[in-house]
Amino acid sequence: MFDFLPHSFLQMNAIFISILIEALPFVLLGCLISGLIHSFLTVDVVKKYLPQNKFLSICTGSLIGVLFPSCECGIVPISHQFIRKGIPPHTAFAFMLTAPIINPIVIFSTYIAFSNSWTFPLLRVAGSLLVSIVVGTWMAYFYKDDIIKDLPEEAHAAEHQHTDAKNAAAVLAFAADKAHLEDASKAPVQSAAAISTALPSKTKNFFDSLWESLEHAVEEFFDTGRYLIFGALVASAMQVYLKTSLLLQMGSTKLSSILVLLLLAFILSLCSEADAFIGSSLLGLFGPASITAFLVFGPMVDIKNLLMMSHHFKGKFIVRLIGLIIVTVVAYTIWI
Amino acid sequence: MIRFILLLSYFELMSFLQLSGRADQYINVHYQYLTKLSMALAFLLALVQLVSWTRSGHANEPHHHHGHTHSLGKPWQRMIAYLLLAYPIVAGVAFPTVSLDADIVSAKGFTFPISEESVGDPEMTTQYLKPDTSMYFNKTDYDKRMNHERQDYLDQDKIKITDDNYLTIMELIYNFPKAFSGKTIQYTGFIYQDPVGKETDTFLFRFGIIHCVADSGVFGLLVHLPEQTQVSNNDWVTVTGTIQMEYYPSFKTSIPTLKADKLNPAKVPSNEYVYRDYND
Repeated sequence: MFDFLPHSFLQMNAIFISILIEALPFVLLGCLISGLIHSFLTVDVVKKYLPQNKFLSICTGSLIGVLFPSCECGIVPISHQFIRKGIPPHTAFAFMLTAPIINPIVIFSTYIAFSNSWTFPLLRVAGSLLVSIVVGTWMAYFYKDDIIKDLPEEAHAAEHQHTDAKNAAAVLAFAADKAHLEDASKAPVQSAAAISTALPSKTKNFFDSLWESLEHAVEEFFDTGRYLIFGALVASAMQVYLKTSLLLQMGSTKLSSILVLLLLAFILSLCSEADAFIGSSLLGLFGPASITAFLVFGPMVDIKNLLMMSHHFKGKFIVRLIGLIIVTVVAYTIWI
Repeated sequence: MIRFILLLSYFELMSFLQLSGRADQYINVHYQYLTKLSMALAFLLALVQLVSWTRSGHANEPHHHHGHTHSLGKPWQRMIAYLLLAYPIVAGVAFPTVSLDADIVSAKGFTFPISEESVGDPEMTTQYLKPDTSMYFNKTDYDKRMNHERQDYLDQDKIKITDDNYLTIMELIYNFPKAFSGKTIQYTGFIYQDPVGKETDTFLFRFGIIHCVADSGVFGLLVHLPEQTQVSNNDWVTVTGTIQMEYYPSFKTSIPTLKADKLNPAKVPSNEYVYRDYND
């Protein structure tokens, strides 16, 4: 029926389907987790557990990804949901940048890809932590503009949220007062007790909330899914129609080969669980510095990930974010 | 309702790929739990959508619930979103499945794993192309495993490469080119001709899938064919020949190559890919 399609298009299609097969389960999982966060994580819980100090909060965000076995596709909706739940953007972004790299699955696949050696997994993890701390600090202390897009349709819903936010603010003010009065060392115990008493009053019923989170996951899927598909289409077209082989011949100096591999990481849009294998095959040609750049940058910025980000966050912010990531990665890897 | 159908179709697409065996044209067999995971999750969400659709009294509008907003407000936006989401289902089920071939090699390029041993003349190699290999070749389990496997093949003078051991043997040959020099091997692959100036380098490659087709690459050897052999891109052939070391100017290093004595046309295998095996 579709035999008239050109061969190159069908090859692009094969690459497209394979990216989709690889990314879809993680996007679906990301949507489910986002739904659970939506229904179960309350603003006051966040504020109580997260360190008040901005820098410590960035560090917490950078490390929490160890617990999320996810690649970069599922991470954008989760981070966006975090911000909606009152987690400061600098912490949410620190999480978004490191989670696809520092989780056990990705560390392990990097270890395997580089002939069972710890050098590259360690360089990769250290690089991602450095980037997340630089970006988090920039967002916490220097970037003052809004980062979340306000969509036109959101206006009426924002009213809903407004009252929500007011209530939350009241709860917070109360909590803060309480915290001042109490011994800091007791705080975790106290907050745990506060959560257990706060939860039933806030949520009518556990199963209602669970249902709500599932419905939210469906919404999230239809919201994010189209960006994944569009991104996968662009990435597969690049692989077939753009002569990336020309890139392999560039890179005569250390700096230029780092930049070439940043570009390659962006174009290929590989899953962070698989990119180490490509990285290791390029090692002989480009050397360890540019391979480290490839491994750190790829999971943070690539075509499909960028499209998903552009849906949630403002363009001006994304441009600066990417600029800062590039500068940091280059500054880090040039010493290797 | 459209949403329910779409989610159910995703479940069906994954089941179809799984049951028809077409999944191995897209992803390494070792990762097929991913398709199963998608199947389960898409099915769950389809059920959720069905129930919430029934509950909402069949309203056409996807209903808003408190706190959450989405940008699928305008009908045309919703149309585009649904069309995009429907595309993979059409593409996955109805389009003919093809395998990657020489056209992709010329677009994506190819590289060789360059080992400590094969980095030849230091005069010819820039510092840059000669990374400190001790960094990533630590003398531990990896070496033990590779040495163990190498021993199995070193005892043989003639090595026959099959689908199952393809990637393992290619890795060994590139890692220990000197040990394999002079040995006779036989393998099947497709021809890729790389024009370099006036000359043409001929390679015999297979696409190897590490994780999925998107990250697949070609693995194989530069082949010197017997005089007056005519081949063209994408011809499937079986060659028998001797491994030798040779300086390869494009990468400024020595690589193992194959001097072919015999070349026979081969049938295109039913599965053109070889897979990286994690069990060894």
